[in-house]
Amino acid sequence: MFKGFYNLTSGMITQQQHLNVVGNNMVNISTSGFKESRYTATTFDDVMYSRVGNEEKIYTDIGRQSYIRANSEIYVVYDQGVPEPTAIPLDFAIMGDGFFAIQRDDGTVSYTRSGSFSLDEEGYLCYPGMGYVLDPEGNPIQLGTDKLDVDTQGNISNEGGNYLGTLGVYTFDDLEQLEYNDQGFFDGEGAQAAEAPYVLWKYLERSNTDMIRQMTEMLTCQRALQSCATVTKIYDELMGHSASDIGRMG
Amino acid sequence: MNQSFYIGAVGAQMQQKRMNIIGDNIANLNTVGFKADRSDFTALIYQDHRGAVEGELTELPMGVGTRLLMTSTNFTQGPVVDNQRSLDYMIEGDGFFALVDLTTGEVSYTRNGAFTMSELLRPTGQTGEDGQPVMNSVFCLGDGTGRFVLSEQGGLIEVTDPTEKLPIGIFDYANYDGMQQLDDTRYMPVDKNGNLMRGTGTLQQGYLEGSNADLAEEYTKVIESQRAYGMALKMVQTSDEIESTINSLR
Repeated sequence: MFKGFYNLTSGMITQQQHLNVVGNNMVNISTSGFKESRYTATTFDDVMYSRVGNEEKIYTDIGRQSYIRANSEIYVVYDQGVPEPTAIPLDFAIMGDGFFAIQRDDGTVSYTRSGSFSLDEEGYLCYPGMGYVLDPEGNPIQLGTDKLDVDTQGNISNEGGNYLGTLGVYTFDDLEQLEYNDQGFFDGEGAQAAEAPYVLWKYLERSNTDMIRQMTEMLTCQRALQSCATVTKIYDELMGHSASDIGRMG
Repeated sequence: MNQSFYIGAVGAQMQQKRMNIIGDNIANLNTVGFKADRSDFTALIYQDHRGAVEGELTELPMGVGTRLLMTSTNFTQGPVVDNQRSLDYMIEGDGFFALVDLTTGEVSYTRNGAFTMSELLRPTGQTGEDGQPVMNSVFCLGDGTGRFVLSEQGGLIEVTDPTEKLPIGIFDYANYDGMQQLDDTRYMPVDKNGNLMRGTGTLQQGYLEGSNADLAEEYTKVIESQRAYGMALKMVQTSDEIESTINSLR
């Protein structure tokens, strides 16, 4: 078979995966705290391309070529999203670096930029369906009321001025090691409480999806996939000729 | 089928749900005591895909869409509507009017203070000539749909002079988050709202509290939602075209 045939197939498969990532970025335009992902593909191991059939009948290396295009990494773009005023007292947005820490039911801690919180039955600040929101010491925050007053450091007090707790904002030395978990939150090691966090109260951070970029990537993917398909068809015709014309005996 | 096809479809569906919530806010622009709702989205599950870097296999999380997590109600004060009607009341500050349904004994809470005089038959303790107890007709403050307004002491309020300021009770909860919404802009507390307490708001006679939905804000969300809906469907369309490209390979 022609090697290019499989090369083109891998091209179509990776463009499809790229499109999945673009699609996910697009539909999360209304998800607070969402960070867009960027898909990168790589060539598989290069192989040496050699020539035979020259006068001396020896192999001569003439260059390198790779057969397969495969997905290599999906990067998360941690750019700041636009803060949107909501007037709802359990909404928070982080400006600058940092994540809110959510302790899940099984005790593990996940991180998110989305600050649309709620109160559970005991009055603890929680992320609905996920778990408790943690303070800088790693403890849940019991509020018991949503009539609050919050300063830009994340210190929460009630309307009478009594201190109730502090929102924990955690930073990481290396954002590269953070990974999306199955719930769309981030998992990672080595979180440290931020020393000078800047928290906006009654605001939510909007998705950082860049629509124009996503639209452009979508078009690029589609056309690249169609080009692959067209060349694949040429290969198919070639193979048809080999089978029916060259192979015809007698 | 392509994942991107379903990602786009889920995105469009969720924007439709968001439009339903925005539509409800806009429809209730003139509803007395109405509080606007907001939709909160979160990322749908992330799946792992195989990636290839330098010959080793890696796990790449890819998102598969978005989902509506919850709706939050904005309980901020609405604008003042001056009606010069003596049975109109509004609460300035925190608190709710309490309404009791005498047939079920159920007490619900509202910010809607457009009250009426409702007839209530009270037995006088005497028996008439036909053996039936003699009923005395009194007028109590009600909401016009069969429920009665509770006073500061928790009793019914008998109206003899509609122009005088009636001792209407203002009740409150520590936490509004998660209050159950009923018809007629009424709210029903759930466990996590805490204990009933005296509201700190002040009673104003002759005024009503208008809806706190803001048309400019809602309309901005409509435009945004419409665009996001269009983008999501573009992704469905693109996926469809890719399917047809693949189908036309042979």
